[in-house]
Amino acid sequence: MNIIVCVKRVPDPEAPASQYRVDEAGQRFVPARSVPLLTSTYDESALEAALQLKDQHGGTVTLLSLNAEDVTEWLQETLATGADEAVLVQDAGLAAGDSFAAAEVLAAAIRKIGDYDLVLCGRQASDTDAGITGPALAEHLGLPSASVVRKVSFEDGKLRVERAIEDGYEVLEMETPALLTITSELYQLRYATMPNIMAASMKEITTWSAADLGLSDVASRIRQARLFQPEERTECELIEAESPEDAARLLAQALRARGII
Amino acid sequence: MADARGVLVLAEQVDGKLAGISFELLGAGRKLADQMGEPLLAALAGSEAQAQELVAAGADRVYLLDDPALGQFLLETALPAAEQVIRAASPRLVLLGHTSTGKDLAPRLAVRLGVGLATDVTALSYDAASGDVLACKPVFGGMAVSEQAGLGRPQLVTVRPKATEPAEPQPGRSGEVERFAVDLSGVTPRSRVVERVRERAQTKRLEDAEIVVSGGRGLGGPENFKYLEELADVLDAVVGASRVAVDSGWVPSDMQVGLTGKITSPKLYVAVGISGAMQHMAGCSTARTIVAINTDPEAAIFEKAHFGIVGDFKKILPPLTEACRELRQR
Repeated sequence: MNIIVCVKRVPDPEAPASQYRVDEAGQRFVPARSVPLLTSTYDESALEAALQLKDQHGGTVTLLSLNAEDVTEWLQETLATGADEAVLVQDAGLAAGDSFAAAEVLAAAIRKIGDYDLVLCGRQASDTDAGITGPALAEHLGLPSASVVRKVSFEDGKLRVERAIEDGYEVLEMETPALLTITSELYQLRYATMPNIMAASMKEITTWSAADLGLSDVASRIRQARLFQPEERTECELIEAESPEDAARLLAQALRARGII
Repeated sequence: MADARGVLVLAEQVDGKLAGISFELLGAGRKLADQMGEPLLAALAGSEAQAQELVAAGADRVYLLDDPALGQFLLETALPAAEQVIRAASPRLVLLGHTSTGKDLAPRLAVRLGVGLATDVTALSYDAASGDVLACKPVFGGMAVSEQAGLGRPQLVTVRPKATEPAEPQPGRSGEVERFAVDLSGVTPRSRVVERVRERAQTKRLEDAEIVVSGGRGLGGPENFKYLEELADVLDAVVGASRVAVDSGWVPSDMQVGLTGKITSPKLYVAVGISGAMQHMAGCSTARTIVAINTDPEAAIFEKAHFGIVGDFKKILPPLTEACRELRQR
């Protein structure tokens, strides 16, 4: 199976809110320089899902990313988990667009890559939390798609897909090529092995510009009026006592006093 | 779309019943429609009786899609059906639920219609100056909020379940129900639903729980959830978990509370061994009272909680459970 995994590099989503600030224009959420840049959480799950399918069925896993900068090092590190190739669309203008713009760029890149059976994306990026790029990409490519997929297998030439729904899950059978957006429960990205790290560090990343894709500009469809941090100041009453038992009792009494229990 | 007018709600029904989200969308839609001085519309693949319920809940007109192919949700048929009804109704705003259906449908609809989309929206407002509906949505795991407007018409929004007040039905309210014929002749699906499985670790839903007792990384392992279960038993509460606990395989995924899990709105949320990362808080920040139990005094949860105890849950929960049991018996 030839699988393309779309990966996005984002500021560490586990970094505390105190390491970020809203810029003066009230438009961007800017991380401190010390915040590391990592693979978006659900993209890691998508990659693990791809690697498991490759373990079972062979084929190649190609990483695809859109970025303003030359992110070769990050892509090589990500390749080292066991993916085969990486394609980077490096263009500041294209990378500055919204989820819809990204979907158009990735669609153009995938058409240029050519042969594939499956495209996997994370269910939502850790920075935008939009969940738009994956399904929008499927629409541009004319592929059947499913979002919030927790498990995927390939049997008798078809995909068997388990997707999360309210109060349970549904099982779909899908023809390839198809696009799925992946959620994390079963897919935790494996560590890179030494041989893979060495191999990956020598891999060339195929790099394309907007011109290589025949794109000059792609339209954004979302206008952001402003970005702000929610005000959530709570006064926390720390219950201190001689023993944990006393503290627990004081807490129970405080909750009773508030009419909660 | 030219002459875009009205707010259109894409209602959902499951197993013959209208989903709660349908009433929440009508509630939010009614407020906006009234502000704009325009009608509130709804579209539904369902029955005449369900359409009448939507009218009672505020829809001025319901487009009833009764094609049997649409009985059960399949993206490949729902997508062209939704596109057709939207083009026919020509609304200026379409509201969908941020449900498994909405997540599948909305982005592809936006591409087909050539418009924008705001997802997982928690608040909506009408800005008369620009003529846009502004939608607030969490970003960066909930650390920030982005106020957005989709470009083009209609504007498309998926609304977070339980974020908006449901419309109250007014029996006897009048509105039109129009049967809408969908043309699916050009559609050859390449996917099919094999089965749907109901799965719930506990009998009560987290989203509906009045009290939630939740555990995270600090519990150390699945066996320690028993401490939470004992407390939950006494408080008649539902047990939840952080994403770490779920991804570590300690508890099933339907117990996950957070931005990509269940959104709870209880009167009491007890967070045990949970650090307080924003993506988790997004699932419980509207709780009226939050209690944090954690060994780390620097944990972010203590900035979000109303009460906190710094200490070992193994020493705190049993006496807490006992004390609550005694108080409840009085």
